[in-house]
Amino acid sequence: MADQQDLTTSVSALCDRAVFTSLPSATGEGYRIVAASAGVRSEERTEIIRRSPSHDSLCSRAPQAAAIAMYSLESGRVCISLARYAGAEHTMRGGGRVWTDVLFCDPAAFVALGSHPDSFCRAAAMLPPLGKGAGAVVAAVEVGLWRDEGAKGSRSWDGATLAGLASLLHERTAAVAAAGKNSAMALVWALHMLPAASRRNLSCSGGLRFSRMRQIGCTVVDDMDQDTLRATRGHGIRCHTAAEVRRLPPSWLQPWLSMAARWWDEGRAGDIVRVASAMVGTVNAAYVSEVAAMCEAVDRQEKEPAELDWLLARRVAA
Amino acid sequence: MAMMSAFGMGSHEPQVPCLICEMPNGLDAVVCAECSAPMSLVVDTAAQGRQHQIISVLGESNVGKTVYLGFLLDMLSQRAKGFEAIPKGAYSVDLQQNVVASMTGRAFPPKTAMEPDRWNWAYYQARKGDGRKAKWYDLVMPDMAGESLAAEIASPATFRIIRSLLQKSSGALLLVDAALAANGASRPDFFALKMMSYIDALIQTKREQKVRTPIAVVLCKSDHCPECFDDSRQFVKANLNRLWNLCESRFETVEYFACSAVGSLAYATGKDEDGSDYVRPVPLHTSLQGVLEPFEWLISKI
Repeated sequence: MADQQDLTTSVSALCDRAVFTSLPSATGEGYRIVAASAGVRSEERTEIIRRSPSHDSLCSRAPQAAAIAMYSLESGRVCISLARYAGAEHTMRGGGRVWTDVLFCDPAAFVALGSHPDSFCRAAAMLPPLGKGAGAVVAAVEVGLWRDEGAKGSRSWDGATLAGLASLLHERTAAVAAAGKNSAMALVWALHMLPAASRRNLSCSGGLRFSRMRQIGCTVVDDMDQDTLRATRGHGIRCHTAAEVRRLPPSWLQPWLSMAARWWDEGRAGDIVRVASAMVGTVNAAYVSEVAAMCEAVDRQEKEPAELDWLLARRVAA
Repeated sequence: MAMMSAFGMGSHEPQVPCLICEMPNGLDAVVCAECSAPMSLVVDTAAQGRQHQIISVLGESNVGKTVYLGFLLDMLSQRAKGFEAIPKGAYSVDLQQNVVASMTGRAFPPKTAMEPDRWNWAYYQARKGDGRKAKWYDLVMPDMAGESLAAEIASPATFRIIRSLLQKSSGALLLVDAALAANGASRPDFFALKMMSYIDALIQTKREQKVRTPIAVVLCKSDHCPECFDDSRQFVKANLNRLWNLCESRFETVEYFACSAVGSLAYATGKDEDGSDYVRPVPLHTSLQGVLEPFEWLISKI
C-alpha cells in the first residue's frame, strides 16, 4: 500500500488570497494586509489583521521556518494561512520579516479538498512573490487536492507524539502543545491522522507562538516557553510539553490513532493519509474501531486489502 | 466574554476585573483573557490606594515609540530633572532595559509585535521633587505597536484594548516623525490627523466643547530638522498643518515638543539572505534632547 501514490488534482477550488506582511508604501508601513484579491470582504480583513502573525511570531528563527494556521472566520469561510520568513524587515529592527499568505475557502469546498490545510499550503508555497511595494494586485488562487498516499513520513516525531496531537485536536479544547521541532509539519501530520470528518471546523495552528489574539483552539508549538505558560495561566488553556503529549489520555479515536501511530513508525505515512481521508461522514467509536480492526487484519494478512477498501468506500458512498 | 467562554473560563471561581478592559479574570491569571494586560497592574495599583493615571504613547510604526518610552523611563528612574520614579514590578523595567541594551549595542530595539500579549507594560510611581508635599502619580504606560494603532484607527474594535486604553487615558503622548514631515512627506501628518480624529470621536464631547484630555505632540527625530527645537509650534503649523488645524479646532490642551534620542546615525549597507540590498541604520551614540519635557508638561496637566 505504501508504494501507491495518488496526487489527486481533479478536485479544486478557487480561493481568495490576502498577503499580510510588513512593506513600506506611500500610505504606511509595518504589518498590515498589503494586497488582497477582490473577493476578500472588509470584515474578513479586520479579522485577519487581528489573528495573523506579526514580527517574530514564528516559533523558529531559522530562515526556512514556516507556520500554518487554520480556523473559521466569522463570515463562515475557512481561513488557511502559511507564514514564512521573507528576508529582513525594511527597518532592519531584529528578526525576520514574517510573510503570511492567507487563503479563504468556502466550507463546502474545504470539505471537498479533504478538510486539511496541506493542499492550501502547497498552493500558497508555490505562489509567485509579490512585486515590490504595497498595493500590488493579487488574484484568487486555484487550489487542487493534494493527497500524497506514497509518503514515508519523517523521523522528526514518533507516532505516539503525532497520535497525541491528533487526540488533542479531536478533543477541541483550548490547548497549547509542544511537538519538539518543526511544529508546523507535526500539525500537518497530526491532522492527517484524524479522520477527514473530524477535521471540519477545527481551529489550530502549528509553528506560531501562542497569542490569545489569534483565538486558536489548539496551538502546536516547538517548545513550551515561559511566555506561553504566563499567557495561558488561569484561563483554562491546557499546556502540554512534548513528553506529556505522548501520554495524553486516550479518546474513542484511540483504536485508529494507535494503528496510525504504528504505521507512522513503520514509515507508512501514505497509508495513514489514504485511510483517514476516506473516513468521511459521521465518525463514531464503532466505525473507528471497525476500521482499525480491519487495518490490523489486513496487516496480519487475515483480510484482503480489498475488504478494507470496500469498508471505506461503503461509507463514502453512503 | 465570548472569547473567555471559548477558552473555558470557569464562571464560579473568584474573579478580579482587568484594570484596562474591566473583564473579570481568575485570581491566578497573569494576563487578562480579553486584552492581555498584566493582571499584576490591578494588584499593584490597588495596593497604592490612589487613582492611577494611564498615559498612552501613540504613533505610527517606526516612529520611535519604544525608544522614546524606554529612554523616558530610564531618565525617570535616574532622577533626571528632579523626578523620582519607582518601577512597580520587574515587568516595568523590561522595556527600558531592552532599549538601553540595544542602543548600547548600536542597534535599535527589536520591532514591537502587533499582538497585545507581547507588548511591554510599565507601571511607575513618579513625582517631581523630593519634598513630602510632592504629589505621587501612578503611571501605567504600555508600549503599543504602531501597526495595531493603525489597524484600530482604520477599523475600530479591531484591537479593543486600544479603545479601552484610550478611553481610560489621563493623557497621551502622540509621536510624529518630524524628519519625514520636514522632508515634505504627508504620511506623518495624515496618521496624526487620523489618530487625533479617533480620540476626538472616542471621547465624544458636545460639538461646542473641546476635548480636555492633555495631549503632548512629540516631534521625534528632530535632530534631522533642528528648526523644531527653535519653534515647535511653527514647525507643526508649517509641516503638519492638518494636525495643527484639528488640534486648534477640537483639543483644548495640546502642546508641541521637539525630541531626539539619537546623537549620530550611520548607515550600513549589504545584501540580505535573498540577495536584496539593505540599508541598516546604526545609532552611533545617543544624545537625548526633549525626552522628559513632554512628560513633565503632561503630568502638570493631569
